[in-house]
Amino acid sequence: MISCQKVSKSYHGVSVLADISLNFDAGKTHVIIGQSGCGKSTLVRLFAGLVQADDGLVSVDGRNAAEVPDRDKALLFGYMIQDGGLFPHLTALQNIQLPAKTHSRVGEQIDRWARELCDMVELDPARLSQYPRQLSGGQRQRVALIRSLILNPPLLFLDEPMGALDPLVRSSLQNSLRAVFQKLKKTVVFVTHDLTEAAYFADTVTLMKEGKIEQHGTFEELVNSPRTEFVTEYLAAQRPPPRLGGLK
Amino acid sequence: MKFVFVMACLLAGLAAAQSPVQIGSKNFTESYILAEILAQGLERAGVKVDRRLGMGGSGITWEALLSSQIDVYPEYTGTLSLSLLGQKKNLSLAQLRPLLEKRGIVVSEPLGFNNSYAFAVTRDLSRKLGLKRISQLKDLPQLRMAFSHEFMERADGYAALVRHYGLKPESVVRMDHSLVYSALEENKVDVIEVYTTDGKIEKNDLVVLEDDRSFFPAYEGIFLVRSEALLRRPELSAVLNSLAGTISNQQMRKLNAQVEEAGLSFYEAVAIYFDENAVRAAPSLWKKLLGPTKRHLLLVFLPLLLATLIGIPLGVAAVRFPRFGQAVLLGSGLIQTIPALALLCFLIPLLGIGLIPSVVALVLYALLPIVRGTHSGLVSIDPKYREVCRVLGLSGWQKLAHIECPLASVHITAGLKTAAVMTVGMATLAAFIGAGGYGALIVTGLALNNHAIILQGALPAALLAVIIHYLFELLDRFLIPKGLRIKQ
Repeated sequence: MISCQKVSKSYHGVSVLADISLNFDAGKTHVIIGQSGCGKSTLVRLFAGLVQADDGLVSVDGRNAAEVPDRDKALLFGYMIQDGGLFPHLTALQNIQLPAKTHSRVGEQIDRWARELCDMVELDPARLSQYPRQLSGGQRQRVALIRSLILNPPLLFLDEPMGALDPLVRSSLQNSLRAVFQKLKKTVVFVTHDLTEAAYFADTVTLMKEGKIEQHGTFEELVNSPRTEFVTEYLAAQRPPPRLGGLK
Repeated sequence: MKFVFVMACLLAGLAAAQSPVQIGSKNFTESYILAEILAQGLERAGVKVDRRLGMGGSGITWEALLSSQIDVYPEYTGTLSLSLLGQKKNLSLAQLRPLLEKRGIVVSEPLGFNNSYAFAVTRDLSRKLGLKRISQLKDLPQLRMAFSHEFMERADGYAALVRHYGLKPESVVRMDHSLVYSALEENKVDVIEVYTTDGKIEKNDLVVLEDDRSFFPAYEGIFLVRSEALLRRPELSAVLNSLAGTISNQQMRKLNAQVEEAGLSFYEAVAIYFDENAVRAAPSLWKKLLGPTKRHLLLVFLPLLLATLIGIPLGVAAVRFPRFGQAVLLGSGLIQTIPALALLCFLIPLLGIGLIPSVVALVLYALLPIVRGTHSGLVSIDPKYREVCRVLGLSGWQKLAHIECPLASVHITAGLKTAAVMTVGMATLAAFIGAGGYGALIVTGLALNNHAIILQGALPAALLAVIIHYLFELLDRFLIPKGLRIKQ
């Protein structure tokens, strides 16, 4: 579904991605994980055709990602960023309808689909008449998720979608997201730096470090047979929550 | 074809013959009165006139005459020789005529009075110091002097005078001519510049110092006329000739005093000059304000509308094409550095006087806040929104209209508000080139040193600024989308 062959990218002479090759299967959730600045966001932006590779080929659903015209992007993939990227001057509903309108897909069918998605992501439809600034962070992300799915694209790119949420909202949104992924069988690329989140969603995990892939596999493979010292280190850095007794 | 051409020429000629005589004046009482005398003289002879009174200083009326914006205006022989024609000394009428003929301008016969510059002091001071002649000032450098901007600048003005008399005054203040009397009265200065026909000399009981080394040239009142206008309206020559030699110094002083001291309007004072029994018509304040109000509103809203229509697309283009953008921002910024009056004067040879050049100038001034507001509004949009537009498949135009402009609306409206308030203030200056509005009342009031008339213009202008401020605050609700007005 998504493949990279020897892809490199640098900004102003600084290498961000070096010789990346990978294959993501259709219908699975692929988590890309790593520290800030490891190139994981750049990789997703390459998939989305928002930046171009210096070298190598990125193909998405059989098409060269760099050559997908902007107009076709929303039909190919949904794209969701950290704070959702909702337009503040449009209501939640107008935000959701925007891609449908630009692709002349208005009507009963889209409305029904929007209601279904509301259900699926557990958003109170009454919220749709409100503006993003009137919504909580979690509600905004749910609206953004609906917007990215409104044209029902086969792929979904999520770039740290929970980065700015508090733990309770985060956990509730994680549940909604997983339900949606399983129900709609999308090919999902999910960028995060949070290990529990990765474990919760991932069919495959790609751990990156300084523009290179450290290890690619299932979460179990990473835990049980870490390929490098860094993989072990990264997994170990995730501390369990302190026991209540420890607080005394 | 020939027939059509001939007819067209005839019609054009006929239209020109019927067109009113454009009478200009400078912005001080005597100039208003002289222009009004000619205007009423012509009206009595059945000739239509347009009064373009209080246009500005000599430079402005002279430019307006040269560029055919006005047909005639009152001038002084001294000003004409030394300031306008740049001669070294005062020329006689016989010497002036050939110089003006080249420019298509004719000088009328002198009107009779000589309004020279002179120095005046209070009677008290004159008595105390025995001060009677200008040459005595050489030994009294401590006396504080106040002169008009024009006198300070002109070739036959201040610099030449101190050289001629060898004066070394310790304190010289520049102020508007109409204010020097108040300054003297309030004892803020000791020596002021006056015109020998000023009505205030007698009223304030001032002593005019003798020009004992004959510095000041003669300033005989005359009219400057475009010869083309004389051909077009033969009545104009007849009326000008009938006025020759009829206005003595004393009569001029009396006319000035009637306006400045007795509070008559220019029209009334001149009507009485022609006919002792003329009725004093006193239009109500509301009626007096109606015309200027309409004109002022036009002077504010027309430029604002045009500047918006030009400025927003310019701002958008400035973002799209950064190099062009820099030029636009620099250009509109440079315009702001030109003083408003200077810009208005530059525009006279190009666009004449009145409404059009004023609107052009006001549009040019209003451009900067609007262009800058639009530009900074668009530039400050979080780049993530542009990326979201891309992945949602919005075309360039959809992005601009539905996303970028609404997101930039807060900045754009702020620019509009600045432009609006600026324009209300600046519009009063348009009166200096005969565009009317509240500024005309302020200019007249300044010329007469009549606070009531100044306030008749200044108060409504200030009130309008307040109204416009609130109007544009209200406009926020329409121009800024609701979602952006919500506080997070």
